[in-house]
Amino acid sequence: MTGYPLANAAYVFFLLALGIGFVFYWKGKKKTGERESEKNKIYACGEDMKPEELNIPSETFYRNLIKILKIEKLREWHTGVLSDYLLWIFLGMAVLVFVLVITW
Amino acid sequence: MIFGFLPIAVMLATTFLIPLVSLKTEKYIIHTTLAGLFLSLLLSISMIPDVLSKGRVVYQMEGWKAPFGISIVFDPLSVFLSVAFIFIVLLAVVFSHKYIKYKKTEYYSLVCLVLVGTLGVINTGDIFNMFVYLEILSVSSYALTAFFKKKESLEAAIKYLIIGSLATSLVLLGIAFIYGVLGTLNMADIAVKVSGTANPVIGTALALIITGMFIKSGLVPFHAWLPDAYQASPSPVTSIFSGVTTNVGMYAVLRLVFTVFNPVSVLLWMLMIVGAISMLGGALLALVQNSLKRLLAYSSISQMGFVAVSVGLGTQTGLSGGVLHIINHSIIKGLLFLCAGFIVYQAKTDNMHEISGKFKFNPVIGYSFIIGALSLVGVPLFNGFVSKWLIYVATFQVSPVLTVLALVSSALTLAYMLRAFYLVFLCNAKPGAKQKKIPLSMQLPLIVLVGIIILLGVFPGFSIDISNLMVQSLNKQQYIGAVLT
Repeated sequence: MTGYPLANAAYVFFLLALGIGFVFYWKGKKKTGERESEKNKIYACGEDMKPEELNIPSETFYRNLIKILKIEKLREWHTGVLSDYLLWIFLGMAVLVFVLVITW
Repeated sequence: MIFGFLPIAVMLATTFLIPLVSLKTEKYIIHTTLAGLFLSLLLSISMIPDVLSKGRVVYQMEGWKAPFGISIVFDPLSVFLSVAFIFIVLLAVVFSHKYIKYKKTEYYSLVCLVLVGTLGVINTGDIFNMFVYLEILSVSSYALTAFFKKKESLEAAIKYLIIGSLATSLVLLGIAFIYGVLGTLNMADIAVKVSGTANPVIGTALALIITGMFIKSGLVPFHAWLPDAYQASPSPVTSIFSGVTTNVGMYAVLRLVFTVFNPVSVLLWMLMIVGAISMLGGALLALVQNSLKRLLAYSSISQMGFVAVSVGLGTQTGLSGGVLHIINHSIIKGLLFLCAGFIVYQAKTDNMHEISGKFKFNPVIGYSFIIGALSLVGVPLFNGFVSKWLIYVATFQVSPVLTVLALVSSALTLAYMLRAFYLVFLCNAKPGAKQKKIPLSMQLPLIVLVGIIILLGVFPGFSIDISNLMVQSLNKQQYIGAVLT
């Protein structure tokens, strides 16, 4: 039982969504294409901005997600110190040995 | 069935032929390596009809019958994995042609030796032989990690060496326990003898071997060597590590748990728990990485978690999904690491903030990367969807909580791959940013891998049928019957 009908439905829905997306894109492009290009420029309070300055700052990408999930804490555990890593391995091994010996 | 051993023998011969060829000129090293790989690939492919018709082909070394001699066992699982892994190494070698500019003799010899170890682990029917091949694979991997001889490469290689040696030592200790209790090293014979014993030493031995294999697979909390080693190695080597060597550990777990020992429920639970932690932990950590290669390394940990969860379910669909994800992950990560290789080759750094805006969008690299990323996420029309779908269905049949965890991990995969794509490709090129011409030898592997990803995604029936056949190879009674009679 591999859920073939559902998998096929997923394919169909995906293709449908892709198709609708393309229609929107094509229609939208057709409309905006008629506009004056000046209208599409990003307004920066009269300041001249270089294209690279208009990018989303990469440091803040998913900032809230990282904060909520406390991922930085996980990262801090990876100290780069070999003895810490060996300790993790020994703890993991101890659990495996304990569980398997008890239940074998 | 003398031809059976030949793919390994050909790669071993190529390993030693490369230094001999280089005595005169380094010009023909790549040709020698490619010839060896092609021959090995053809020999492996030529075994498919035989294996499919007979189910399993056993070659007893030097005519010594099992359990006294060393058996080499070929079944759909080992043969299809061998073909996939040789193919990935072949593409990585083609990519390396313009990438590796010095110490070619050492580089190509070591790459061939990695493949010797891989093929040996996959095809052997002797547990001590498995350890020996695992050591061959590991030692050559340590040397390849240190290839650039930079401070980071050496540090990563030493970490990998120490943790990897601990892994192989645990495996050897486990094998010693098994030999002490059962008096045999033949895997089929162990499978016979282990059924009637309740000796806790066997449980200890299995725990030690499984720990060693978990370290090799890079599952959390045994993963610490992996990000450093992946980041410091040459990019084509990283694609081999991610596409081949980490999968070898997972293959060994599959073979030992389902064919040799009994898939006891506690062991399957351990696999699921470790897999779930890896799946989520790897994805979360990938989200905060600044190094592109490190991000992909954590992604590999996450994907190995998917495989472990799926295999841990122990059902037909779960095993099919897990086995298929091993192959799909090899192909996808092979592609992504080769893309990363070109980006690093061009930008001279793998820090995404530094890469950002440094070079102009390149269609071949950009589209290959996004196709690889979408496939990794599990978007329909790409091969990643097929195996992930099987994993979702299999987890849902056993525990919907696992399905939710898998879906969350896939969403996180989308998040970190989008971030990587945005930083590397969508930031506008700064003035003066250059676009290097991509050599054909670097483009070709990417195009081939993209083609395979789309083909396997559009025609999923083919890969599902193969994965079902591969799972049938794990049948314990059939394995014992084929090897010991």
